Amino acid sequence: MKTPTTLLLTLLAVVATRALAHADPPVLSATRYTLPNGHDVLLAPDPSRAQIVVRMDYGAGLADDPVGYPESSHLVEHLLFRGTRHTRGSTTERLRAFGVSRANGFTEAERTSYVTSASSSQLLRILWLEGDRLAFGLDAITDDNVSLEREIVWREHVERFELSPYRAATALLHQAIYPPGHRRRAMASQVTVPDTLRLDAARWFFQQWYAPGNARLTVVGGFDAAVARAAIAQSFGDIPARAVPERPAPAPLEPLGWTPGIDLEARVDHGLIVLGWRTPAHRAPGDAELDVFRHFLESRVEDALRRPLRAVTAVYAMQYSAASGSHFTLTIELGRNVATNVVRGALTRALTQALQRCDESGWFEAARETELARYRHPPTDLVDRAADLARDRESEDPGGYVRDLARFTAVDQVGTCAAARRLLDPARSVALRLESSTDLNVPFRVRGTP
Amino acid sequence: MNLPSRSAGALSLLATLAACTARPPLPPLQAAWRETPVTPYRAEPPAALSWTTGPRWSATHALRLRNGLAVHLLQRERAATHVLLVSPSAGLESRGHDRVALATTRAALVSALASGDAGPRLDASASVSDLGTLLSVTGPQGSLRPLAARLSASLSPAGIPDAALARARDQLSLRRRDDVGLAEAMEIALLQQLFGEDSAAARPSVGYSDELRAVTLPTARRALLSAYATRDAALVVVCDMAPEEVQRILDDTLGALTLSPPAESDRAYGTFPPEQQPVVLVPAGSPLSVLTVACPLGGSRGADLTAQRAFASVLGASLGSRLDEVLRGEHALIYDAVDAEVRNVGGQSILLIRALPAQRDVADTLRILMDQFEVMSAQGLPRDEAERAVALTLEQRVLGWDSASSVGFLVASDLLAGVAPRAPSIAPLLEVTTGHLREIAARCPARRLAIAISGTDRTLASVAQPAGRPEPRLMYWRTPQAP
Repeated sequence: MKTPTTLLLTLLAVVATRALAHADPPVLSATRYTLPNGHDVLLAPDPSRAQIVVRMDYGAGLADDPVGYPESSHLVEHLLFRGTRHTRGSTTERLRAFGVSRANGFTEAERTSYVTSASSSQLLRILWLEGDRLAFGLDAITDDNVSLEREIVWREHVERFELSPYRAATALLHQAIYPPGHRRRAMASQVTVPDTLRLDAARWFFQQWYAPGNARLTVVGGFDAAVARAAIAQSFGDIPARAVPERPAPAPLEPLGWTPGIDLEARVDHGLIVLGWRTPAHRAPGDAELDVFRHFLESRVEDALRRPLRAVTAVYAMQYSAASGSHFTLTIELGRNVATNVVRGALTRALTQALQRCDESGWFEAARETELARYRHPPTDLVDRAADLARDRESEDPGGYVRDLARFTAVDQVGTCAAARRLLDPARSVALRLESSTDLNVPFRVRGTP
Repeated sequence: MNLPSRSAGALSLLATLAACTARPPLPPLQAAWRETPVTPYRAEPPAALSWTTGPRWSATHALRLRNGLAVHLLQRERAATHVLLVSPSAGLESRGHDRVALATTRAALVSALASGDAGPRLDASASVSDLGTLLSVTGPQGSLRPLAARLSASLSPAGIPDAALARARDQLSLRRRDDVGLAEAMEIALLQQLFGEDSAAARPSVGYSDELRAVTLPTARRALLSAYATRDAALVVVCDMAPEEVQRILDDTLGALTLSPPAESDRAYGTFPPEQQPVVLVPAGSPLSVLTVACPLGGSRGADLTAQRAFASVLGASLGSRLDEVLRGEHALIYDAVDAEVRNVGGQSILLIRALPAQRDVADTLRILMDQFEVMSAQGLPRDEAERAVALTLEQRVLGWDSASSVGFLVASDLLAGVAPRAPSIAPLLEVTTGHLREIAARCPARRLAIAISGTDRTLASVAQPAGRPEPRLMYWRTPQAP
């Protein structure tokens, strides 16, 4: 399972040597409870730490924007840093006054998150700020603030989806993989103009979705659980309960029945070929198998393409898993000004060969060990630990470590190869080709389907 | 709409028109909005808690084992057991000739340590730098003896079993160790420019996959003995045990190892060139440019190092830092925070700044960045900014003590850098003054900055050459591939 990330982050990723031992169940002391108003709370104290991370997740994001008002969720996230009723100045200034150096907000397809890292001494103050944000966030959604943030949100959107060919390519891939109306398709976002970022839509979004019953507070790190519980009751307990719209569980995605193609040219030095597949939802049969198989696929495609064909500079195989549906991508990054047709045939052959040779001995244990290592222990970084705990709102074993370990230890090579052959059929993938071009007047151009 | 058919521009225009002409009404709210009562608690922020929830340090002790191995023990209440082997002989600077064997050995060691059949579950990891390797092993509280025994067995002549070497090869090959990310490559390019292409700073940190597969068991064992179990190695131990007990356990286990002479350094670093450097341009097609700037701050010793770190915190890596405020807040040129850190390279402190502007904003970002350095070097820092920097660094330092393993790494890194290991203490920070920070700032006028920029051809052409500098130098992102 891989959390959503961008190609850029992948390019910037640095690996480190690491290995972990036996498959003993991890020790993760976390307590989950619900306040009378429906507010979900997850506490994971770690007495060996002097730092805390406070994370607030609201179960609504880009997929819940009202029709005709895309990115209202993102606008609300920005506005809630402008300051709420009692912060006296912006929330950012107040955080700074509390000595907080890391605080950020994230708007994704299905949730909006606020993450703050601070020394343990600031626990009560951070909880107080988050309480004020939920209780009195509407105060921040004013005409003046909207006019300030509208341009910033618009610029971020343009930067991410229109001026950045790689991100635009990712968005188009999402649109091809997920059917219309699917919640994960929202990550591709819609083409927006600043005019749709409006005060009334932002207020509607906040009032509809920022409710105690749609919120989870996760606190990890060095704190006293009793002190935290009392402060949480004070900061969140008296916020009135409100009903949140029901959303039906998404139907499982069928694999694509054909191979749609996307042809782009872009003002970049490195072209790309990306093959994408619909894959099973997070923790559904086949999900863990593909997480393991991706290591083998990446290695074999790289062996087949990168060294013999100097035209290829990098190969990435990734799976992006979520409860509502997942997708798998195999990305080939081409050398400077190399055309995609130079490697297209070789890529198909390499993929086919990797699927055929999956039964070879010698790779499976190492690949599975690499995946297992991600779940054996809670991450050392408290921000990552809070993210893991908050990820699965339905989970009764917070963070799902035990279940994730179990599903990886249960995976075997025979099942992995069978799943890979069934789910990564080259004839049922989306094929995206991004050609490098230096003489375009626009950052990228869709040339149509091949 | 499924797929855009012709162009993004046309889509954008259509969307604009659509937005201006018809906007659907907002749906009714599911539930009426209800106000939260304002209580006295809500009206004012609560006071900060006192430092009562964090761990406590007992003491720091220097021990020496019967075979001469130095041990730095950090006692900490309730801590899990962390042991770090500090190996200056396993650094890339001194081991340029056999780094592939070294990388394989490192991975095999990690694998062997983590996969013992008996005893508690252990985590193992290794990080390598120009100056050495830090091998870290972590176990539960009270697990020092089995941990040290396994480490000792792994460092013995037959310490790497064939299976561990095979696993190491597979894992390294699966992880594509020869792939260098753009951010790391930019730093390599910059250091290559400053210290020369033959310098250890200028080479990728590990070998290539096919070379790794060629390493044999005898080669790996030779590398193990000559690089890790050496007389210049040291141990950093973080645990909740008395020093006498730690001494006894370690003497029984690691104290029995035969230590080899330290490795001779086969390649030296140059010194940071005093004259102006050409701007290094690295073609890369990612949507954001990686703009990396370096400045020599002098030696990496004592109170000066503390002040250097405080100065870095003024510039970036925190909410409201100077470059963050100017580049993001004032000019909206970047969306992510500016990175700022002090790196030890060959015994010198180098300030490294990294910002990620959009390609079209690179020239403006660079101009503003250089202006800021010029102003700071001439005028120093305002008092409030300097005081905030010290407070923030203090905060960060306290957070740095947060996990026992972090402190272990902090002390181990200092040992590799040749800095006397410090007890976790805020004293050096309290000695940092505004005047000291002004002096540090004066070391980095704009003309002394080394600059590397990644970007498309168009971006790179847009960057004006700062006055008086030599012609820009074009370098490439990917390091040369193995034959």
